[in-house]
Amino acid sequence: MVNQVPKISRGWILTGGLIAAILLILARLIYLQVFQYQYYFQMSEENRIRVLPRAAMRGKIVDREGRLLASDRPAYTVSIIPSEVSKIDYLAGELAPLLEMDEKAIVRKVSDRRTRKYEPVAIRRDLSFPAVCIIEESNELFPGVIYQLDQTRTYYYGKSLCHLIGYTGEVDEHEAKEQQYRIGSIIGRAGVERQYDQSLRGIDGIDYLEVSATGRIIGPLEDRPSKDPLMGDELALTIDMDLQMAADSCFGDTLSGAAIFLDPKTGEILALVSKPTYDPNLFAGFVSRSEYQSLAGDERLPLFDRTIRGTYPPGSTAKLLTAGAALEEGLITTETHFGACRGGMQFGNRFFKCWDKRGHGSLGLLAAIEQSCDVYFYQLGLKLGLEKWSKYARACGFDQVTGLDIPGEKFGHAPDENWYEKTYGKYNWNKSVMINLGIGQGEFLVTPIELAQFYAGIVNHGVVMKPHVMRYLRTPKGETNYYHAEIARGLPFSEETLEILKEGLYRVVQSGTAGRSRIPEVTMGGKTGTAQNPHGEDHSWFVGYAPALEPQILGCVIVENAGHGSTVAAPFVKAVFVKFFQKKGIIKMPPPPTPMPPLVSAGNGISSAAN
Amino acid sequence: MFVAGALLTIISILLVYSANHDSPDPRLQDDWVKQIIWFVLAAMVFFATTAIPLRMHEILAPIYYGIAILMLLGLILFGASMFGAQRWYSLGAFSIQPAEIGKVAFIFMLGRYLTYSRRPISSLKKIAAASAICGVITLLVVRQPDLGSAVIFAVVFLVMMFWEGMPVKYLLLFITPVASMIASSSMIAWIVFFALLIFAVVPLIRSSLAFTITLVAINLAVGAFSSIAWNRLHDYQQMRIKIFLDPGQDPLGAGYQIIQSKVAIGSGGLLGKGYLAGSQNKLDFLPLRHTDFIFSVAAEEFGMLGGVVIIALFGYIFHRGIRAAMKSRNSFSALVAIGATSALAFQMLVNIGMVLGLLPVAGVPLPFVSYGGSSLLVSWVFLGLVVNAERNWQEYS
Repeated sequence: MVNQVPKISRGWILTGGLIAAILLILARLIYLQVFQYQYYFQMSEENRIRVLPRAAMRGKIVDREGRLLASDRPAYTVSIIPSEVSKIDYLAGELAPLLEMDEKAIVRKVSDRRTRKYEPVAIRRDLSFPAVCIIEESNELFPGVIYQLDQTRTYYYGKSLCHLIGYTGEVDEHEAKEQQYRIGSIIGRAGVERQYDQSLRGIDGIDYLEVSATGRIIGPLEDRPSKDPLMGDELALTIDMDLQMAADSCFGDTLSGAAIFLDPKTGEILALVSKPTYDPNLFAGFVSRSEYQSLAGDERLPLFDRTIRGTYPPGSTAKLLTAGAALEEGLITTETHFGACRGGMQFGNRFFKCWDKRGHGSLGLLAAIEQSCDVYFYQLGLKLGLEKWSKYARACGFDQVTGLDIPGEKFGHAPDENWYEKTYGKYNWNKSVMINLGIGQGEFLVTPIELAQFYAGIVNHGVVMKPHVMRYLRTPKGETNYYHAEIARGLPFSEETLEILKEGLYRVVQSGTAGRSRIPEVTMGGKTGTAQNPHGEDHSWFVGYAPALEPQILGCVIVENAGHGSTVAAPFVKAVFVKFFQKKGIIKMPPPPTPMPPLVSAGNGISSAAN
Repeated sequence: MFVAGALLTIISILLVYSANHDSPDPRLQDDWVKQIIWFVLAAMVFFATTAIPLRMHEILAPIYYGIAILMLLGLILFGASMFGAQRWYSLGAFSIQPAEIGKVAFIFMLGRYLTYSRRPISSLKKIAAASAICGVITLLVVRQPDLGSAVIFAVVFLVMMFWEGMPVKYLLLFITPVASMIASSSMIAWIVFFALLIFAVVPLIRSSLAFTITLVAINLAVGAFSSIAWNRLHDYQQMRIKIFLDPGQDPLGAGYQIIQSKVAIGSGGLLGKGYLAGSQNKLDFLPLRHTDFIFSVAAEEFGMLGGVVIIALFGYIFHRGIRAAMKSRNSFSALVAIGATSALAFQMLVNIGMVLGLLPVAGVPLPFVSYGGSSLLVSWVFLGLVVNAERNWQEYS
């Protein structure tokens, strides 16, 4: 009978059931402790260990004479570990006044973190010591809030080097995934900070701490010693701060533009200025959204690096390209004369003006360069033709980046026939475009660094060096790696052509359009330029070099909306050259004060402009 | 038997010391000393229990039962509240859990009734009366609410009824509704359950049509109303069941206990991390580690070896308990032995099953080992009762 179980059997049934249950438990025990042992052991290790990265000191940046430009200084950083915070709104409300931050900004920073919630999110860098003390004392009130002695980047010359050095920022989640960097660690965002980030960043150290379930730190882990951080390399720039400051101060606070000074023999950049500027220290600590927006929204574009990203018509500075190409093609000699300049030239149904209404008469090449006669170059351009012109322009390195070791470089535009056909259609343009291109107007655009590199090639026997700002990187152990100067290309000009061009450039300063910027002690060559600006006042160009025979320095300056190159840009170059040769002992101290030239309005509304 | 119990209790003292002696809460640091004192008391109670004839308890059973009921009622009015439940009477440094005393009183009372009643065990009236003895005390415990203890009453009741020879079909009357309730959480599971009930269980017991209809009807009713009952469960009870089903869903919330317990046990490995060297234990990752989760501490610090030793000691005690019941010529003694053994066994299985992640977190202590005076004393009383029954097996009633 099924329903009535005999007494003895009942005892055995109970025993059997009990044995089955105990076997089940034993099986589970074996499963967890034998088969899953590795997994759970790992979990218990992770449980008790908190891996706290100790940020490496970022390498310092110095100029060519060892002057400190940027370094890390110790500062407290307050972070929140998202996984340990249950009520972020409440916590943010408590912390906001202490951190002098907006409540919402704190909440956003924490809730933006979608993954790796157990890693701290840096909320506020560079917090004052008293505020840190308050956080330390009220530890229990702020669960998940930690502070660490960290570093903050300091830029000692602030604004005058902002585009060149750039700034740093925190690695976000996306970058952390892509580049295997720790979230919240410091990464170079612009300038050489970005270019040489790998070397500057160093290697973070790691502290292994034993923590309790509540996050209380018990102490360092005994069986795993901490790893000390390794400081980043020292970056020495080719920049000479004396020249940088001299160039920067020429612009003052009101002028916009760019200035590049370099050694044409090596390509070393001595000064690199883009105006207006911003204070990169803002980015080092903690930028509020409004501060960033006011920078980004500024009409004068302070964040925009004009030296490598600004594209302008080169104006008369491009006449050397036209001249060089024509000489090389054998179209002219120095003796060749064109139709006389009478303040302009009739071509088809249009009258193309020369910058000088009085006219230059009939000139040879050297005099045409000296006087920057537009009419001469109109005719030379037409004679050369678009096909050859664009071939030479490209061979000279226009229409491509110079390879300067600062990220974000753009290149200008040297149009050719294909481009015109594509842009305007087959029959909607004609040879007259060469009239403009020949004098550096029209669709021809260059960046200041491109133009500087071109001229550096002319004065360096046709050898174009790759411009660079890095002089050396030095590891904490003292191993130094110098930048190896590189030849970018050779100009497509023979030695004879180059001699003629240099003779012309010398005359420009001796007796031509830049005569006022002569320096008595040093011979100098150069070329002025005035770039037509359809949006307003013309831009003022000057490219100069000294000494004329074996140049040690070459400067390329553009001042936006400032008019003629001779009146504004050339004196800037002169001021920096004076400083340069004073340091060399060639010009005696004290230097004659360089008067700020008056701003000359050049708005003459001519169809082409040059001087 | 004393040696087996003593070994478990000594393990308990060692584990409580390991768990709490350097606790950040100074009130917990001396728990291991308290546990020693309780052990001394428990040993005296054990010897007293083995010495006092069971016959006396048989006579006094209704009084015990009455006192237990009164204490449980009083608890509703005066009890100290902890974790949202009233389970304690606070007496200075110590606290008393009436539910623990109730377990002993209930075993005596049910044993006495089953022995004294002349009706056959298959009589519905007898089953109903026995159910009432169990039902009253169980409801009062549920009222606290202490679901874990309530389940123990139910299980002890069923085991004792089974022991007494209640037909399997009546046993089904109690067991199947529980299964129906669990299955009703999912419609598919519920349909499968009824299919099994009607096509497998009913033909097997070959019972009357009336009984079959009653069985199915009860199951239908329980299943249908279990969702209502679900809503009447406290939040933390609902949460515990949910978390049991999926502990990973909130690793830092309520599932935390189970996960950390599994981590502690799994990371112990074969031989453990060594006494006082369990990182899960030392660093506060284990919740309630000196009470409900003490087995995790044992398994972390002593590994599988420690776990197996504890389970083996229990196994030995259970074996002796069932053997005593089988040998005994006295119906009351046998029932007391089987009741005490089943109470110990069920608590042990539920507790270890819980810390291993096999069962929901139920708040059931591990007999002899979990910290706590009431639990330890009652464990030793059960042990004493088993030893008493074993010793006097030849006495006829």
